[in-house]
Amino acid sequence: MTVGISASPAAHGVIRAALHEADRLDARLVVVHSVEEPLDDATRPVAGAGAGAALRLRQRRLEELTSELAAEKAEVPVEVLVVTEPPGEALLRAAAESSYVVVTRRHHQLLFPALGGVVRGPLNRCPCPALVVDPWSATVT
Amino acid sequence: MQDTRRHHIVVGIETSACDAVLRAAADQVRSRQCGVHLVHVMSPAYAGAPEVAELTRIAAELHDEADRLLLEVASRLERLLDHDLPVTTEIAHGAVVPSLVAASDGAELVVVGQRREARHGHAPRLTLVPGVVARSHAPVLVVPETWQAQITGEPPS
Repeated sequence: MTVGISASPAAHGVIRAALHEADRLDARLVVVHSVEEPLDDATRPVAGAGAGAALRLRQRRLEELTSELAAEKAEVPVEVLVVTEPPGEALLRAAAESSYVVVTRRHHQLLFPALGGVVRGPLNRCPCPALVVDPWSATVT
Repeated sequence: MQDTRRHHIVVGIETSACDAVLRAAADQVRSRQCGVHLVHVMSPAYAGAPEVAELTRIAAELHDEADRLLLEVASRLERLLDHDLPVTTEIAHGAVVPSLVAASDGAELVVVGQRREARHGHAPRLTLVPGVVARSHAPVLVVPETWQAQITGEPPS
């Protein structure tokens, strides 16, 4: 099972939902995070050797976050992938080897609930079922 | 105390060509041990005023056809399930997206199919999936109609 996350507070809810789903379906979970432009701690773009370090730092932090969230789902094997391709493409590439994909929709707007472009692409082209959760109420039961 | 009102998933059924959706729904029902509610939405476009006899007859025929569709699909789903879990059906009248969104209220999950390509000789159809996904009260599982894989449970018959 693959879950695609962005660098936003919504990631917590989506990872929780994906862990819950992976646990229920006895699946391994791959967390995919796309970083098209590596940033340093001050959110400044970095290049060269600094880019590699920034990606490794992002990977380590994401692994820490995932471990923390996975504490109650210790039976679920989790792998974290930080990639440098566009998020939709990264998700589709991971989906090619997955049984399920978990993605988030944008937070409910007051009048016009929205579906982001990153989600629309995989929804149209994903070869496997895609579970779309609302990150702010992401308790997949 | 278990809240039985929430303990079901909703499956949107458009046509009888829904094998992938039924497989995915069966996986979910087995792993959740919950009920499943099949919903077919009939557009109100043909439900003419009662005094228009021909339209009324057509509407009745469409309703009968929808009844047959849901019975047939429910029977196929029951064959995929190895548990005595409840399968219920509903014909909703209205626009598709608002009807499925309304059905999602109180459900654990909504399962819908995603058509990829136009059938030979036909124009591509507008998909309603994004509308349902964006507004559903429950998580939505979008299943490509070409999906074959099984993640859990019994192989399809």
